[in-house]
Amino acid sequence: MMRTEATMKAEEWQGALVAEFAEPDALVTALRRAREAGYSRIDAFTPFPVEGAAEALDLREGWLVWVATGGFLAGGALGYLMQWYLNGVNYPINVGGRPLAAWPAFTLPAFEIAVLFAVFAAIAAMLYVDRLPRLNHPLFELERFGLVSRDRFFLAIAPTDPRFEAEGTRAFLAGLGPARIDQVPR
Amino acid sequence: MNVSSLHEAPPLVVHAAIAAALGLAGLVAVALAEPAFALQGWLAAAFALSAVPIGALGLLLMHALTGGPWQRPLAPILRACCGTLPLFALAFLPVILFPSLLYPWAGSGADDPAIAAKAGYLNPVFFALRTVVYFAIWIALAVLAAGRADAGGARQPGTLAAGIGVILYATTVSFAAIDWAMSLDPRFSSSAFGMLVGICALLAALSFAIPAAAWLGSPAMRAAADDAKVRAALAGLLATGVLLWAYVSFMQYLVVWSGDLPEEAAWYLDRVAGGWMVVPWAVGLLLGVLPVAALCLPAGRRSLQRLAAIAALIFVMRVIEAVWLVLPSFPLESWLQPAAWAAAMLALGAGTFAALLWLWALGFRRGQQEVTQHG
Repeated sequence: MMRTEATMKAEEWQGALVAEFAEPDALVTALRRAREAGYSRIDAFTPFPVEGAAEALDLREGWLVWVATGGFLAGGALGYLMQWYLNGVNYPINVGGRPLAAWPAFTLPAFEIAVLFAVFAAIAAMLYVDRLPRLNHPLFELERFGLVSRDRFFLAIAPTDPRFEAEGTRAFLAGLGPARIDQVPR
Repeated sequence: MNVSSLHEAPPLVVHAAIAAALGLAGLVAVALAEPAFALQGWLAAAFALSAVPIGALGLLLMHALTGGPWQRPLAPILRACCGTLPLFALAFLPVILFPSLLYPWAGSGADDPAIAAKAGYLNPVFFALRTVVYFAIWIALAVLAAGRADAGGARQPGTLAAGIGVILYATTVSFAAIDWAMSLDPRFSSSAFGMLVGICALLAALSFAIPAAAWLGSPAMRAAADDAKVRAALAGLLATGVLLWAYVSFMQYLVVWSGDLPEEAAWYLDRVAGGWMVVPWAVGLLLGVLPVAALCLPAGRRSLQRLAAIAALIFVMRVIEAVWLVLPSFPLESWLQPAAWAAAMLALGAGTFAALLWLWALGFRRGQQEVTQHG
């Protein structure tokens, strides 16, 4: 089964082999070749979203949709409840004889709050998956990994991968034509 | 069955033509007894279904300005839809000849001072003239939108012409909506109505063209429409259309609800009276909530077939909603009315569908000839 960064422990990357590429296309090609070769505990690190990389990694973060949906429903319910409490209970004002619990008037603000909560939920889920309270990652040990936020593209294969062999995997990565190969210290 | 085999074995065209003939026979039978009932159904069908060619025209003009990968697989259908505009011009002939059977401002209500005050705009001669002008402009725009084939085989009007066309299009569609549907209740006025119907036309054309391409298109057309990028663009367009429709129709309701004026509330009260109450609920759930949810979830966009099924649901609910904008304005007096309404929908729907299939096959053959000539 495919394991991606989101479902792997950070410690799994200790001892990983990391190939550095200068071009995004080379990275996508390398990802596809690695998948074809049977590697499953791999990940890509790029300075910007690379088209085709998610497909090459077979990333299907389908659950994120449901987190956003949950946020949407919770926000909508909260939005209605807040307006109902304010206008109907806490500070009731009779506006031309219209009902105090005026659902037509409440709908647009409730919808806006629902969208806001959907986005909040999705961002919070992303930060959780990014392991936010933890501030470092084993790959940070590599001196050149800092370039991942500038102009370099990295492919990492974790040593916990069933197909991982210290020499064989290094030779495989070399065959992909990377700029260089590094190993994360254990 | 696909469009490439239409000229050899055209069963669908024949079936549609037979259905249209049956509907027309029923409609004529009702018209002999009670012409107003037949004309009510005819107006509802013409208003609901003319949205497809009108919206197709809008999509073709807009694509000339914005581009995008979604148009290429749908273009032959959209052009065939535009080709049915002259038929709908004919369909509106009875409406502009006998407005007194439909519109209070042309008949029984014309003496009412509130309605008489609007007689400068709402009178039979000006009404007929406007409808003629709308169709003249749309047919001219359709000729423009069909374009000339360039070296690459792509047909597209120039940007300037399309830009002027879109402005003319939006204005005429808005006025046509006011004339044909909103003036059924001359006391009701909503500044969102024209825009609402215009959005609905684009949605109707898109939600018709996607299932047509998926279920009746040639294998090449289906393959082109099943490309992941095209699918994502079509799903995005459908979702945008549905959200726009939901926003504008809810805003119209909210403004009327907040205003709380008798003449505006009456329009909505007619539309929730008796069995009509089912329609807003069904439309809200099946044209609003369900399609948006299905289009947002990745599962909804995974294949062309799923997208076509969602679009077909949108199309059917769109037709029902358009009918609902028209028919509740007529008091229900006899069981003949629903029968006449159904017969009119069958006659005009099946008839224009047969014409559309024929035009599409014609365009397909011409496209093939162009390919053979160039190749």
